[in-house]
Amino acid sequence: MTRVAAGPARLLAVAELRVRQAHAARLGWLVLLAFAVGFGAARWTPGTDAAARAAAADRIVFGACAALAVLVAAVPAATALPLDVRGGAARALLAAPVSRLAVVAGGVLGHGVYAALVLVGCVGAAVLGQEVGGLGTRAREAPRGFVVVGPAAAAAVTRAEPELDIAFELPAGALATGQLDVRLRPQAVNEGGELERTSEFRVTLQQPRRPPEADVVVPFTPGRPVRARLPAGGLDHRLPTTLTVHRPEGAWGLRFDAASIEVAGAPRLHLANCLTAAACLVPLLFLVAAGAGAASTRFGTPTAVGVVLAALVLFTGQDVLRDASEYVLRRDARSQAAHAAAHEHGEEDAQEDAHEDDHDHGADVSLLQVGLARGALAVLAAVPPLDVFDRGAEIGAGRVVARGALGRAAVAGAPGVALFVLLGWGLLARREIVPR
Amino acid sequence: MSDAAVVLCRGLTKTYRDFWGRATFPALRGIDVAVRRGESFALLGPNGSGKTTTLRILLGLLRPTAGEARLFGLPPTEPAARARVGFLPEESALHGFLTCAETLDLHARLHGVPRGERRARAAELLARVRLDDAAKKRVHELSHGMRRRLALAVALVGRPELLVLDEPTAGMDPLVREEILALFREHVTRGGTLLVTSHLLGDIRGIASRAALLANGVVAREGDLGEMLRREGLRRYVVRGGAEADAAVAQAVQRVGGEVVESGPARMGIEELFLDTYRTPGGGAPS
Ligand SMILES: Nc1ncnc2c1ncn2[C@@H]1O[C@H](COP(=O)(O)OP(=O)(O)OP(=O)(O)O)[C@@H](O)[C@H]1O
Ligand SMILES: [Mg+2]
Repeated sequence: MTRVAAGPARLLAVAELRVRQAHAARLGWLVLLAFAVGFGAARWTPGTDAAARAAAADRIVFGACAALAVLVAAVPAATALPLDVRGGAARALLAAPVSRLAVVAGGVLGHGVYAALVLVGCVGAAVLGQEVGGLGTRAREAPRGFVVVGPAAAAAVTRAEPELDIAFELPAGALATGQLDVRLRPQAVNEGGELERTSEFRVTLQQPRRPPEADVVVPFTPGRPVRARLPAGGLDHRLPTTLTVHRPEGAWGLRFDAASIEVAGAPRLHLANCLTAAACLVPLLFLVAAGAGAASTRFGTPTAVGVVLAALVLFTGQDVLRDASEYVLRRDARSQAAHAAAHEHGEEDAQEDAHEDDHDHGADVSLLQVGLARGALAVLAAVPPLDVFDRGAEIGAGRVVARGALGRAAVAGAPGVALFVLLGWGLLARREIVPR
Repeated sequence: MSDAAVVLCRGLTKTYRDFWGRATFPALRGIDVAVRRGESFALLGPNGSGKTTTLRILLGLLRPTAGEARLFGLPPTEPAARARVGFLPEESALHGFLTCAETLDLHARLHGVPRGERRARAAELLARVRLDDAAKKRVHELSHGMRRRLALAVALVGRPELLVLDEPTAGMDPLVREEILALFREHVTRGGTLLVTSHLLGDIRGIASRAALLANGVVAREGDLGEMLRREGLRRYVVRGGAEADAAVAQAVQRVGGEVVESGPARMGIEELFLDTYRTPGGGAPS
């Protein structure tokens, strides 16, 4: 008669319970809010030209959807268990033959899945809102993926060698619009003489035994990526292609660092691109749900929510924290160096020596600050960076989010999720279920 | 193994603690209780004597400060031990956003009931606790008594060998109470084991065979319920007849050297009155 724990089935039952619980809190309405954000951004985002406005609106919309989804992952996950304990439902739940690991992991699964569904709904609604607001498929250029075509090593285009040839295979879908979309990042090399800066170079495409395509003059600023649309009507998709960069007129040459020339692949639907970017965010949602779930196994509702929001602020502000810590350490190093120099100087003066021993440590950074900075950096080393998950930059730049980004996000998120689930399990296993 | 205790508490001690781990109240101070297979056992005692605390430890919701608790020989923190137990908590708080049917389905899944059987079992249990009309109602829409009955169905959903019931009849009207008590009796008749708490002896007289009386966290008395309730050397008669019959009985008793200790008009209990009123045709029985 013994019914041995069918672990996964019970975990799924808990997950479904959590999805229903979050749904009962009517968080699904956020989808309408996302629609409004999309509509508003399409209508009222300022910008100098249509392309800049579209880029800014896309960034705003995707950022808003991401923020909503993160909150939807965090708040229900932080509150579900404390509410169950307070309301008494936890007694029936935890007295059932379900392991506490399954309760924690099922909660993470349920809250993660629910937040992912809300994210997809929000992205869909927001893109629809943009469409309705006048920023539709026709008003925006389709995002494209870029493939690096060269050069293999840094190459110069100078007076002595006025042309750079890059041979490559056309990526699938590259000629979809009759033009080849190329992105270059040139540096300038002064070859002496006049100080005027020439800001144009020329690019041509050619295939074997075919007449070269018309060349295009590309204005540029050194160090900034430029995008050029090259006429490609006569190109055959199956043939190898050569892209030639001609040295600009005047005193300046060009340098292309390795991998600084890219060619666009097939155009994609903006919505599809947004959904891929959303998929990259899903591991973060699970990470947030797992962290919030762990907090909820120990604390009551307000504390758990507070802990989770504080952790989110630290996570999104990790760059600031990292910079500040490094700044403290740099200052410490500098003042120690200064201190050592002063020490050598005053060697003969015993009195000053004794005086300086009081402030053995450098002048303006305390030991505590240094310790905190070191600790913060050690912790931050284990925290995945935000932009592994957040592909908003690509959405704004009209670039296709690479499939590989998805895998990287999953790999970056998984250890944290596992860690938080184990932490939550450890805490819940020791937890006594008494109504507070 | 069939002789082994289904429930075993040995020297069970529990001191409640606050968030920081400071002791607040010694609720149990060394409790020894053993419930054997097929037995129906009552844990009795006044408010605050530690009944609920004992049950919470037995379901793995609390950990004992000292001593040990075993279910089927396993620690209650093992899901495998709880798989054979159905639990009715003192306050039946279930998730308010689920319907009755969904609640039963959830707990059936937690008990590992195969998918194919879940729907039929939920329907059967809802009928048995007379909630079949409310299957689609959400828990937060139920009355207190209906919630209790749903919680009871939840306790039964895994076909448990042991039923652990904390104040099972609290909040139920006498009609339903009789049906619920019948459910418990049936559970025991089928070979199941029952552990039930109450502060009212009368409530569970019909179902429990053995009992332990708790007082301030210790077992004050334990034994066969019938034995404990018997008033040594006294017998009870209900007599029909007028004042003469009364006098005749008293005389007859005196003649053999006995004494009438108590007499008065026989009354029906308020519950009998209730049952009488609602069960007789035209008596306004609720549909
Ligand atoms: N969470 C808690 N923290 C501190 N003390 C508690 C807690 N829960 C119960 N107690 C105390 O433990 C004692 C036993 O409580 P318990 O709930 O076990 O009593 P009970 O016998 O079930 O009473 P009742 O008949 O009223 O249900 C009581 O004095 C109570 O105040
Ligand atoms: Mg109680």
